[in-house]
Amino acid sequence: METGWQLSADRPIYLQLVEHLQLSILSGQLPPGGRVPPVRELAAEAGVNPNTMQRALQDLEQSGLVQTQRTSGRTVTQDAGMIDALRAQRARREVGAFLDSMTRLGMPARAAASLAADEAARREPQPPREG
Amino acid sequence: MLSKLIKHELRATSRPILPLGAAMVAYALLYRLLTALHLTRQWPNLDQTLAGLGLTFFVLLMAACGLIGTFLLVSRYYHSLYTDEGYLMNTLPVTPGELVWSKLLTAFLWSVFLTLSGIVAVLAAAAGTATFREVVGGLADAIAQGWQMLRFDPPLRAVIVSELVLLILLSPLAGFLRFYAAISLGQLMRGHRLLGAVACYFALNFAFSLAAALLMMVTGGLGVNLFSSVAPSAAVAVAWGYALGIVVVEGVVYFLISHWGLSKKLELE
Amino acid sequence: MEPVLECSRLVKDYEHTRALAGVDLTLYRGRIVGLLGPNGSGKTTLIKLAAGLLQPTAGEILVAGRAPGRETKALVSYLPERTYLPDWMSASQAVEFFSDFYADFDAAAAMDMLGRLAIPLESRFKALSKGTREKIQLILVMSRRAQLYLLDEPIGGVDPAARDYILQTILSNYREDATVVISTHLIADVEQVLDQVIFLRSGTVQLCTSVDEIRAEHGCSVDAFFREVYKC
Repeated sequence: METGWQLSADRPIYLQLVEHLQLSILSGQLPPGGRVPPVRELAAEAGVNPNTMQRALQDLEQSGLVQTQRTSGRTVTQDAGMIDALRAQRARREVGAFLDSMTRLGMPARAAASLAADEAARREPQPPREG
Repeated sequence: MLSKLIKHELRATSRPILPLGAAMVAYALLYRLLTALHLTRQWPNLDQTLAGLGLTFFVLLMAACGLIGTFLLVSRYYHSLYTDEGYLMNTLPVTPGELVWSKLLTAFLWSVFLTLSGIVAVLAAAAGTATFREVVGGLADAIAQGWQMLRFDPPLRAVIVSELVLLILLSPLAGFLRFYAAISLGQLMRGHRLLGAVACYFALNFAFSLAAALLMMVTGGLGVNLFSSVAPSAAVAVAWGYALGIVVVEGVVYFLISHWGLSKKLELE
Repeated sequence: MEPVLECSRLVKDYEHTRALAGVDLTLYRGRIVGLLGPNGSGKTTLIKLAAGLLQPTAGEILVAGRAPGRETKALVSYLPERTYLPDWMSASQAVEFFSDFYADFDAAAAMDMLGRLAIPLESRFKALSKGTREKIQLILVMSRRAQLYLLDEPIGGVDPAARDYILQTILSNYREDATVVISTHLIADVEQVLDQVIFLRSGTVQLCTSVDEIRAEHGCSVDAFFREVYKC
């Protein structure tokens, strides 16, 4: 199946689909206001049951990330604030997971955080301008 | 759907059966050619022996082709409905009746083909020869005589002729159906399906012969008077009428058994 | 529309065994259903009953609201576990055969798929390998626009690439008015594609639920769960 959609076997599929779609929105692959491909296409691409994909899309609709237009199918929300909030939420989760795995390595949170800051500075030598 | 089934059946069975007809005609032509050449005319005894052998072989060949043809058609019924191919045929959107009819009518068509091939072969081998003219002449005379005898009773004549025609047409149908019914019954005997089918074939044959004989006996009481008081031609009509009745009943019973076998008792491995 | 398959108190006995011991089941349309169970649990029997190849001993089975017969056979596309096409046929003749008998057969789609898998169209089945024959049979079955597809072990003896192709074909042929039933013991490979799974054991339905429900409730794949439930 499509290597793009990495689905693990022990978590509900639809949850993983929701996460993957959220990621696509955050990464800009599905740009704000842009069209969401039809269910069947997405399902075939992901190698999953169309009903499961439908459930995932409905989930996204409920949270407002995706809207259904009567005539033109589904589109991604244009609400930048919502997307940013989602980004922050996912980022927070990633940070939590990162700190957890650092703890497992025996490195305390603050040390891990400064390590992260160093690495970030190395990658972005100029701090981004505020505003 | 029935015509589609028949088309498919004919296509499936033509490969083994057409050569049988061809073989008969080919051999007849060969025989004719060789006898015409009189290669061994210097040795009259050898000549006659060879001619005799050739003729005997010809007869055996025709009999063999008939038997092989029948065997092929019957095993076709079994193979396509009761083996792996049965998964295909029995899930088609057709009725069990249509399946049986398609096999039956195809078998009938091939029987006609083989019979005609046989006739063509005989003509090829013997047309124009003295013996042939004698035999055909004799037959023609006998038929003409029979026809004349009944000239005063056209309805009876019509009845006898139609009975004959129906008997010729329906007997092979009943014959094939007997095989089909035997196969259907044999399927009920797990583990011994083919053996069971063979046994059932003879059992069915026996059962109907017995029934026919009993029928004859029962009506014999009346029949004795009937036959003695009535002209021979009427007796023939009645006798053939009985035979025809039995063939029809047999055919119907065997058809019902085959239908039941496919609709209610299908248990593919 | 009515459910595509309904069984109530369905029983099937063979001479010495009871293959189905009272199956109650309702399958709705637009689903891809996995029929799972150990050998001898009655999966093939249930499928054959729906296909009209067997008669129930007791109870009832309805396909699109009707008892299995000529009309339901026109709505059901059945793929048995064995080679059922005659030796003497070629792939193109088989396409012609299916076109003749099934009004819902899409010959163009079949030829397209046969072409994509580079299957020789004029060679007789006798001359083709088992894998190729299985692919042809699957293509023929999936080229029908049926209401109920019954696939008995469709990915059993097939290589992974072909397996992916088969599952992809099943997904791309998905229609809302049709249901696909896949009977298999290779659960891990098909799990993602299924909505619903039915666990069959000793002729009765043990469980009938969705893949996600099992994963959510048990925190493991259906495959893992199945092994757990049916371990010896």
